Amino acid sequence: MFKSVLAIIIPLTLALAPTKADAQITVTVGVAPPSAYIATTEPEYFEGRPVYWYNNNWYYRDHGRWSYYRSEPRYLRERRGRWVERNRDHGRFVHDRGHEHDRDRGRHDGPARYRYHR
Amino acid sequence: MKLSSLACVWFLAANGCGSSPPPPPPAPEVAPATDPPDQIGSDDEADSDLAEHHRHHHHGGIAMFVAMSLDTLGVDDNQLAQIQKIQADIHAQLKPAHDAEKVVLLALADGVAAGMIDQDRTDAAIAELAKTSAAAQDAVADSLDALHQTLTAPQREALVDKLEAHIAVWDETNAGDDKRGGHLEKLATDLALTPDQVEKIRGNFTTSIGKAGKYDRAEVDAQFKQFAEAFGADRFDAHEMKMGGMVSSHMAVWGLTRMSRVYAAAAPVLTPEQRTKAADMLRHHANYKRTDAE
Repeated sequence: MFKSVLAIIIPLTLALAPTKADAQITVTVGVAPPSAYIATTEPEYFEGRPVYWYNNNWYYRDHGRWSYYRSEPRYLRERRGRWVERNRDHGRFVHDRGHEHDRDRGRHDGPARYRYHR
Repeated sequence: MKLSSLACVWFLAANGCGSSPPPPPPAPEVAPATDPPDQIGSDDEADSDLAEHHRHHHHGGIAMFVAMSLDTLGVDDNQLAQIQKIQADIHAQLKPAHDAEKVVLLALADGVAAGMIDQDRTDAAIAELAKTSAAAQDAVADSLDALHQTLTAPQREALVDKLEAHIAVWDETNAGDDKRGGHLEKLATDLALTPDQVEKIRGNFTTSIGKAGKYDRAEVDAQFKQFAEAFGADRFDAHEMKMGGMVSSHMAVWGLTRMSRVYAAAAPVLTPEQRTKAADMLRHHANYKRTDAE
């Protein structure tokens, strides 16, 4: 009985633990998303800070340095799912062409970008 | 071993001991600061619209950038009405500076159409703008205080990021060396200038801009840093921000002076058709509408 329970628990533990850690692993980068992108894109808010979907990663700033999450947190993945509907309601926003084809899904789900009148 | 103990072992392995603080997040991996990631969107319409705005509108300085940042801050529904009111108030407080800028742009349009900029008329209009722009920064202090009270700490952080981004775009568009996206390059595209015309205009511009005042990016950065630190804190009083008016006036004067020098350099070189088109473009910007409803 004991061995059979362990046989279930140990693989389950190994399967779940890395998932939790992965969401916390970040990659610090020497370059930020372009200034014009930050200025015209709505952030999401996660872990008490603004985060920006850019180049298929979630970028955030920590003590002046930009980083991104190596694995996409579930909350942010779910937020991306709402963009298409939300963007329809904003006449001054335009879909970012650079994100028309998400590499993971092959569909429109990039953030809308604000267009200023010329 | 009981099942409950096994469950505890599993829980601890997956989540850490409940009585201990959670383990620190793994150290960040550091990527080399070499090439930027694919510059997605760097040349798309939203980018060029923003650059075009910052190329022609300088009147509001940092307060205008704050108001623009509210367009994309991502506020909750229960904040929306208040944020819209604050944004409308800031734009209203900047209206005198906006109107002063309009006078400058129309003076430039008239000069370009005639083939010769009246520099005295233009400089006088810019001097008037300097006064109104400085005064506007004091007028927006209450709005900035209200904004600070309305936003959450993460939203204030986002606003500071956006403010810095607007300053960077404005700086690249107006204070750069015309390598990319500068006035002359844009004018060459819009008016289909010949290489010979570009060189003549560049020569004229280099001579005239040398006599104009210098743009002090360090002064702007110092003001931004002061604002960013103050606005990010829990307590904020915009009335204590002493440099705002001076810096915004500096940006407005520099931006319009540089623009006026570009058009002054170009006016005698352009063909009649190009002058007409350039004048129309300036009048369009002079009559700028922020929203469709205006």
